[in-house]
Amino acid sequence: MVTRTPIGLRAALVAAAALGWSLGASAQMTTAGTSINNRATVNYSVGSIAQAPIESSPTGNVIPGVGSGVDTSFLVDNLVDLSVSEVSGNATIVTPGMANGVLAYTVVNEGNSPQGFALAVSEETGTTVFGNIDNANFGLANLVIRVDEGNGIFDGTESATAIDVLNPSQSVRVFVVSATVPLTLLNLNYANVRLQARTAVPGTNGGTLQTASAGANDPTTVEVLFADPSFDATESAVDQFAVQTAGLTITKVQTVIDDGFGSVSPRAIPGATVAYVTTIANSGSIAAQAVSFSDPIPANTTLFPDQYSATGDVGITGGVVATCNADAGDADLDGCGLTAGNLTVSSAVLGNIAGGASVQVQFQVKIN
Amino acid sequence: MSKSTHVLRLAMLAAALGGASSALAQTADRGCIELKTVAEIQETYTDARGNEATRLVPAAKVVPGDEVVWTIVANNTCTTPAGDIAITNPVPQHMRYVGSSAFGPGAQIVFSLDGSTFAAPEALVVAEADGTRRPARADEYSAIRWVLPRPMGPSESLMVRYRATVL
Repeated sequence: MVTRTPIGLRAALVAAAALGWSLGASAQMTTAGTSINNRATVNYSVGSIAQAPIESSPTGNVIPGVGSGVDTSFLVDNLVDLSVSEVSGNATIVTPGMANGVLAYTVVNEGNSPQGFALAVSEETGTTVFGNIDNANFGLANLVIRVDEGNGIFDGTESATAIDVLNPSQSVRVFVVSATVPLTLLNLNYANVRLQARTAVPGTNGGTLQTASAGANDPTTVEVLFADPSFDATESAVDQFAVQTAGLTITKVQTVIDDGFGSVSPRAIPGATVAYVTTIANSGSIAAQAVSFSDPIPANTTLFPDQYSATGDVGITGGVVATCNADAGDADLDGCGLTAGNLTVSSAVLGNIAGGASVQVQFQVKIN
Repeated sequence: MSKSTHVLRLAMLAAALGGASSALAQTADRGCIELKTVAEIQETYTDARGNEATRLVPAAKVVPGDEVVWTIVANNTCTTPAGDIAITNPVPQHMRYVGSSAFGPGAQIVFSLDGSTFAAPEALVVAEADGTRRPARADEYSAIRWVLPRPMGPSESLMVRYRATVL
């Protein structure tokens, strides 16, 4: 078995960096197809008389004079090397049903020749990324690949699903997009998604994969040599969707607080006062937004006004305001009102309910 | 019959001299030293006994980061000694000389930063932009010269070698 002496490019570049070599800002590699030419010259004398210098040739030259020699040459071959990396360093947080959940990757042509890249997406099972174990799938039908058009962000106008041409040292961003995040996903679901790039012949829109040149080596042809870490012209990276939802639970507790007789255990008799306490709790990971509340005033009861801070009909704990008035049709626009026998409390009063937080709405009625 | 044989011999002579033009034309212009440059790379292989070994093969598959072994062979084709032998080779474009790789039996090896002034490595200094001076690094050498302090006898060969990395 014959193998090349492993003088890898990466090792060379690392060594160059360690030595502080001035390879230039871009550390540009010699382009594939470049002819490297070499010609030596010998000066000598015969009988102490200097002779005309003789230049070298690949096979040996004895004709003196500048230009009589022939370069010894070889062509720099096509070094295929690429990297794929995940951009953000974090999971992308999505909520079920949201539009355009986007994962971003970067594909870099680390070779010395323009290349194309075929792209493929796959879902992991059980792998750990960013400390989270994969425990859910989006389904490949819900994931599409889009190549960035140049601004580095997904804006929905991208259409390419492969990289047609990427010049040496250039990179391009690739997005894996879930147009609509599946509603079947649950809070704290994690989906690890792998983007794979395979090096393709440039200009084929990823359609014709590169193959490593086999057989006899030829100094006069540009051969293709795979030099990526796995030596297969294919690299990949994993990113993660983290599903977070707001999970609301609502609990209502009724208490007879006064029956007009000062009883220790007030009875629910006509004229008695009943307090209702409704707790809206968010057991999810993210804030619940635009939460509003509606509760019918029970039949045979009448709202007992002004029971909170002397003038408030409704008491709110953990909301934006502490009290509001249940006036007909919310004429005072304070967010609370009575409409067709229903007490309504708007999202302006309740505010966003953060993950793990809760809001309480209280009101009192008198039994008719 | 004899005439055609003669022609054949001339043709063989021309082929042996390796020239595209006629052998007779070359003879008039011939110098004494035949100079040859060869590009090779080192490959490792497993020999018949299963041991790993290295060998030089023609530089055919070469990519950035690879080291190429340049070998220059001088051969005195004259019947008289050749003196003051100096073989000079610019480091090819797109390549960097690999430090301490130049080799030449009995030859004094000097290097150049500008391609015209040659000196031993310790005598080569680079002036930085801020005016300080530092020893030149091997990768800054632009040319190598092997100086043979003795004459080359008739039919004697001299092989010199160095390595350079493809950028």
